Amino acid sequence: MDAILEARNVEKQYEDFSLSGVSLEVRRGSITGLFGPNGAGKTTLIKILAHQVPARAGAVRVFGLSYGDGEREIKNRIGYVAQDPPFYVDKTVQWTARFVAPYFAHWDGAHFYGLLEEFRVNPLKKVRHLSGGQKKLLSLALALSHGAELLILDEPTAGLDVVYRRALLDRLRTFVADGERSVIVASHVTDGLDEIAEDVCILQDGRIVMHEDKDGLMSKWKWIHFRDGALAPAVVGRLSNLRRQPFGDSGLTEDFPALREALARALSAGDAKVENAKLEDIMVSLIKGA
Amino acid sequence: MDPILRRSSFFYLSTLVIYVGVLGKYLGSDPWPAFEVIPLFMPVYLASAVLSSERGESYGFLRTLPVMDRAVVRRKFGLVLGAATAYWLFMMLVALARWDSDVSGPATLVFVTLVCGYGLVLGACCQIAIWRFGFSATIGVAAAYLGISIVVAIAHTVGLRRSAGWPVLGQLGGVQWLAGAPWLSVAALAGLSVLVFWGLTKLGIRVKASSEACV
Amino acid sequence: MTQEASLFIALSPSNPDPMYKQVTDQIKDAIAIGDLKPNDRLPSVRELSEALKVSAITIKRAYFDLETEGYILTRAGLGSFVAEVSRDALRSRKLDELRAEMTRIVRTAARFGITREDIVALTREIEEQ
Repeated sequence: MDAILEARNVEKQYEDFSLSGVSLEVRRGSITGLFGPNGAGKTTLIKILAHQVPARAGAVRVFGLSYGDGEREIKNRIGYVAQDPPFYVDKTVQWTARFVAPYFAHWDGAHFYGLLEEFRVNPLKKVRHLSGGQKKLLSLALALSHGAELLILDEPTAGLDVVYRRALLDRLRTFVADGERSVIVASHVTDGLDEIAEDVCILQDGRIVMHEDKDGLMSKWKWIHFRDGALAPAVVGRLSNLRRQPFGDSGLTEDFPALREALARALSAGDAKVENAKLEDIMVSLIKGA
Repeated sequence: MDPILRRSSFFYLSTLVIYVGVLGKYLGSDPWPAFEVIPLFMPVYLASAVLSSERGESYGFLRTLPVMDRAVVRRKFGLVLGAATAYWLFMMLVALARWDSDVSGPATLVFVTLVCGYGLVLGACCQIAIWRFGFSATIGVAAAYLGISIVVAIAHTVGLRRSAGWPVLGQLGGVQWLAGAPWLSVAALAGLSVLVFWGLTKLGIRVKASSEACV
Repeated sequence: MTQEASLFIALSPSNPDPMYKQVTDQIKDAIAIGDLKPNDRLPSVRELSEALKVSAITIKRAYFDLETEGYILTRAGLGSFVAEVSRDALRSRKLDELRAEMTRIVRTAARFGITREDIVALTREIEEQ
């Protein structure tokens, strides 16, 4: 697999929280979604991947380079958007663009100002007068204007209204369409990123509890709604999150292909129905189960 | 000019200009022991430049750019060195210009170099402290220290009015001895300061790279 | 006369039909296959709404449509009950539903060169399972 980013056994220690043994890869041409509950370590991991915070142990390689001797090249080729993007807040947007331009090998000012117009951010405004969402859009505009091949984003849709959120999702899809560029984005599942993610990575308590491609995931995790008594106890035993209700029971399976045969009879008799699980359901199930 | 330098140099330049304009003129006129007192303010001005430059600095933002920590450290330390040298040159030239007026002498050269060397090291330490502990943690201590320095300098000025002899600091044993061979001493002191400063640069790079305190 | 029904209803958010229609369809199916017999009492609006996790308004709408179409009767204070629905009516309704599915099968078969004989043989095979 052609990995644009590889992390091996990354560790980080804070007073009340730690990342341990985190390893992951981001495939070229894909969007990887990093999901998990609050406090799972998504932001910490993202910061380590983007070299904003040092890791206690482990290695991160981007484009086959390590930050140790390839920091400048890597940072030239990645675009990073933080949860709360830092800026010189007393300066204008325009000043900010002039500041960064000399540092990037492929800075595209025209593209940047085009994005600002699309995002409706006034270049003459001081950064401190921008709203939280606008600051994010500014950071995104910067990230997209220097020929980056990998975007590392931390909750990019938080604070954006619906229209911009949709525009952002579309933009990310376009970004990876050439098959050469990738995106890794940390997000809450409910922010819409699960729609566009091809690879799903779930983080909990500083550990990766799942890392799979979304199609595979969705084909395995299903809700089974069934008439009470229609399924053999052995089958019911393999379902989790069982809900027994007066007019039908439901359970979640994480391996539908394995149950398909056992369910065939009930399904064709109309005594059972299969429904796709949402990524949310999978996450809740994993977290409750742990 | 490099954007980081461009932004920070404003603070160094402005403090230098204020120093020369407000205090520096006393070195040029008056037959009173200006060289005894005015140099004492140099470390305060230089440290203030460091602090005001760092107050609005956004390392979080710089970290997103393809600029390495050691490049940032070198630029900042370069400014401190450049500014300290400018203060030193200014005072040395004025001291030499007033050589015959009895206000300055060999001891003056030594004294000025000593104080500027100290200012250089102080500025570097301020910078490192900010990287290690963050701006808000450093500013309190730094402001207190600078405040005390100013008070001491003013007290010394007032004290001079009372005592008959001057320069007092210029007559400290060590300074007098060094003044025996003023240019040699100046070179040695300058060299020593730069050496310590260079060591601090190395330390600064290490501190900056591993610190999470600076935002 | 009154007897709690053994009912199986599973609503699906991904189903293109609106929720109230899914409820009416599944209740009609239940009546057709005998899970609900004439004069059986339907669950109350509140019961069904809580169990299926949909709003009471949706259930009320479903019951209203069912009553309009003659599948159920509501007696004030007593609840809703399955009406005497003729088997023929149920049969022809299901046949209409099957027609749509069958059309799809027949057209698809035609496109792929599958003959009527193939389909009949397939039907027989399934029935014998």
